[in-house]
Amino acid sequence: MPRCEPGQRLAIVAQSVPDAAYLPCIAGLPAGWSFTSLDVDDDHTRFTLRSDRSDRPVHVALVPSCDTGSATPIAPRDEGVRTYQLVESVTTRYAGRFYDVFAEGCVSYEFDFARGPHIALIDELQTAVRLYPRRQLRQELQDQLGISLDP
Amino acid sequence: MAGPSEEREDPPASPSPTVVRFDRPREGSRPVLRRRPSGEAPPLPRHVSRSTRTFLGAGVVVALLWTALSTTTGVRVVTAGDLVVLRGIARVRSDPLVDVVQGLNTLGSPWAFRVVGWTTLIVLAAVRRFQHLLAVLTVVLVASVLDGVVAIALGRMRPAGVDIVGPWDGYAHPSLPVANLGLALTAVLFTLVPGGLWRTRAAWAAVAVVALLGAARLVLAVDHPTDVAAALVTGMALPAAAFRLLTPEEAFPVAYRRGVRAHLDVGGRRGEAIRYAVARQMGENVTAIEPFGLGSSAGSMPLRLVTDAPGAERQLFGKLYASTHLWSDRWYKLARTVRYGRLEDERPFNTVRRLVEYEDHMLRVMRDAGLPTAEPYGIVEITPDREYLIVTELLTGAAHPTDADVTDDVIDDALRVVRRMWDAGLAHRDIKPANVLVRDGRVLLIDVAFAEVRPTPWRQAVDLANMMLTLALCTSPERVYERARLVFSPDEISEALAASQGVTIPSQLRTLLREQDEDLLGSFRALAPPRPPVAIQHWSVRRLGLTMGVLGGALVALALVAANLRLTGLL
Repeated sequence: MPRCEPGQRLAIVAQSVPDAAYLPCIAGLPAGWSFTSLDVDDDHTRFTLRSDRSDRPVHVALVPSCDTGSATPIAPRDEGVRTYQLVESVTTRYAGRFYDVFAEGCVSYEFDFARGPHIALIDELQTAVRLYPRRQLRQELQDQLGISLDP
Repeated sequence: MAGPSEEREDPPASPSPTVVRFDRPREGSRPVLRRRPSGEAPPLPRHVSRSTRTFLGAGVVVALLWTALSTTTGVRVVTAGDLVVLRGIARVRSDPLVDVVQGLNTLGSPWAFRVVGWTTLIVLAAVRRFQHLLAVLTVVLVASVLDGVVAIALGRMRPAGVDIVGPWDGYAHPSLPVANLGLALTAVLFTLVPGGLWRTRAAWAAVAVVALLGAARLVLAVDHPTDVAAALVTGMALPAAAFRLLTPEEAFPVAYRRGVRAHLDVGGRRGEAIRYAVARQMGENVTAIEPFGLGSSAGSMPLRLVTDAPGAERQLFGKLYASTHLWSDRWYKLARTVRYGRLEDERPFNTVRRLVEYEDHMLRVMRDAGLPTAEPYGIVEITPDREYLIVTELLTGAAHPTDADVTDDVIDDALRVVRRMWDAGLAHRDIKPANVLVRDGRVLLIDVAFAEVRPTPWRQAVDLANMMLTLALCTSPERVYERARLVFSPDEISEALAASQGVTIPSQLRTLLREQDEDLLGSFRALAPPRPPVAIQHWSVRRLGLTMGVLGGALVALALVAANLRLTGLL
């Protein structure tokens, strides 16, 4: 699980999308949430979170670029980040995507919650997953492990 | 046979802990009995080959590497060393070289692993080598779980500070493509390639292929050198040691000739150890050891031992028991208990020592009861708790009833042997042509390993039925029945025939009966007073528990196999 702290688990996320200015990481899992899978390769990072109050998981992905399409801009989550929201369903379920778009990368959050607990779940998701600045990680890896993150 | 009061050799001044030397006595002279002093190695010490020790040593080194990689300082030091190597390689990297190694890198694709893995499993199932099949599934599961757990626990990033020019997936340590290819090829080596020169050559080829993949991944800078090194250990070295432990070549040889059985090799070190042990523990100088009657023995290694006793050469019969036979005995008894129920009262042995002690004891009980069996000479220790030799007289000049002249006297004698067992409260439990011998018109019983003291009446009745069927194979049911009436009452005979059913008849006897034109059991029943069949499917809590356990175990095994195949990428 790539925690929001300097280390190799976050570094390999950084390696999956070279030059991405921000990296998705787990700041802390709220009660009832769990980290269920991680898929990281030379093209992307995907991980899955699950809440015991939702029957469907949340998929988080870091990719080089996103097609935000008709998504609506909302308040940015961090400096240099443009955040979008695309709601696909609001009737029986609250389903859609968030996008955090930044230099050389994009993080998407795909959710599909039952209506009712969805407000709390969206808040908890945004608290659980944060963006970690690549610049900061690069400096910390150099200081702690003597590793230069980028060639 | 040397007695306990004979001359004894003084122990050596400084016993060697590992080396067994056997100075052959002069021809015609008897070896001297000698107690093995404390600290001296047994005749055949448990052998761990140099390469296996090297593999296990490599495992320890990798465990230390993992410990280092779990600390910040360790990561800093190990990664610094790795990057020095990778930067050196990157400096000589060229586009044509990268093109070549990208081709080599496909050796590590999941498909290569699937093709080799499935081919191995299918061939092993086709040639019915289930021990090897089980070993492959076990080793692949354990190695894959180990690699997966280590990868997640260490969470190592890919090489940093150097251009990565190849595809990668997941954490870097250990290198899973290298480990998986190594694992698949090691499984092929130890389960499909015959031991000896062929396996040695194939091993070098496998190491070359995996080394090429490892080198390719270093050129592409997708793995650190220590990632590849650890993968070679978890994918090849440790699995090789595991295969040697689970399917030792001496017990589970890889061979494609028909009729090859899982018997022990009695040449080489084991042959020398047997000679040494028989000389020191029995005072007999063995001049030749040869397999004897292998066709009818799967539960032990039967041997003919030739000795040069003073004045005359003589022959002994030996049954060598090893750990593999103990496992066979356990599985056999479990199957019998599940199949037959409480009437069998099967209890597995805990050790090889207990197994041979029991057979030797039964030989002596039979002899003391006046039953015609081979004279027991004792037990010889080859490897403590793991390998023993039971030595008896060799019944020379005897033939199985199917190859002998079975006269009325022979029939009478065979039936009297059963009566004597009944009177002594014994059952042989494995009466079939292979375990009955005829010599000079007298009947001899061999292979008393399954014999039982105070058996159930049903079990005794089955002994009579099997003896009658064995005799009828060589004569006729009418003749055997007439002779049986002289030794047993009609009620006893009809009880025996009522107790006899397909599963109570040993497989060799059952096969021979099927080859007959006449239904011998049916003919006997027509002659004897009618009696309803004796039920044998007696359920007990133990049998029920064992059956449920076996079924549950089979389901768990199937689930494990499925999980195994999925986890390792074979599914």
